Amino acid sequence: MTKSKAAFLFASQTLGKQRLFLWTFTFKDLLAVKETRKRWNHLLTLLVRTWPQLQGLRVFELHEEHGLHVHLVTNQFIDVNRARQLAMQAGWGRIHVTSMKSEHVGYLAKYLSKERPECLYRWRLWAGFGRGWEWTKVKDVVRETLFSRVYRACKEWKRWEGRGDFFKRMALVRQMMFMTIERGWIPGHGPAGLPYAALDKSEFWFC
Amino acid sequence: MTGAELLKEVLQGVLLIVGEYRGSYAEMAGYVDKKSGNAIQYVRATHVVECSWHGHIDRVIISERFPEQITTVEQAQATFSYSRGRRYVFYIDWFKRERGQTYASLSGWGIEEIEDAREAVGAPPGAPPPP
Repeated sequence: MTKSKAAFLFASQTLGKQRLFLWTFTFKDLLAVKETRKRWNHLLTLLVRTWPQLQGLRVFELHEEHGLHVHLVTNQFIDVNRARQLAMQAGWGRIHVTSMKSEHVGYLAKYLSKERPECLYRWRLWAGFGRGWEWTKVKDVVRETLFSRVYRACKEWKRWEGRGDFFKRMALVRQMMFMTIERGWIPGHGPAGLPYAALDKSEFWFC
Repeated sequence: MTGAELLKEVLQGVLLIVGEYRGSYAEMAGYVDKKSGNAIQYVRATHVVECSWHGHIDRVIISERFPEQITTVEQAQATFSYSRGRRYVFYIDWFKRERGQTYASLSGWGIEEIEDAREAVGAPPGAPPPP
């Protein structure tokens, strides 16, 4: 699971604990991804203008045959006919809505696990919208794994600051992780539970 | 698994890694939301395996996700019945080489030990191992 997917799942938990509405917006014709994004911005502006209290999450999905389309999760019911009118006004084709349980939102998250197409590089595959709620962002998510624990210990030990020597740092953390697994150390500590800084330098010949 | 069985699978094109087992680590991995304090957790294991890569020995990180029945680190650890230094076959779903490190994900077929026949080089096929 990526951090982005985890942030999306947290955001959906904040959005609604009961019932959510899943919207799908598609086009009749195949459009370029930039054009789709433009039309999405237009549609979102119209939706939020019509329903100022509307809150939700949107996910871009690049379909193998139908191009880019948008999924939307909202926590409030909005008039489908009115939404369809707005979608047509913004140049969209078919829209579909269904209610779903909040725990089924993982269905949308599966798109976020797929390998990102090159044309969506640096795109926000999902985003929240609406006033009055704070959705979880990737920067709010802390990863808890063996690697992250060893990384934090190495950071403290070597007093890393900034982003310099990224690859060298990663190589060191990996080595420490291997030693942790092979020698059965407590994560983030050396033999006998000592912090890395307290250990003999000969232990860390690779540093 | 014997060497002959392994060769058969390799020739069939089964995706696998053969390597010397170095160790495993089971953990409750996951994510924590700093805003809400919510957490998503799952049990996973990391296996370290030594194998040959372009003529030198390299370590491969193989991660394993567990079925839903396994919910604690202790249960995951109980599945580690491997001996360090022995060679195993690791059936994998995928592997990738990233920044000089090979990563792989264990498939449902899991891990199988290779029976060490200790056949002398050049021994006729099926010859018994030396005493």
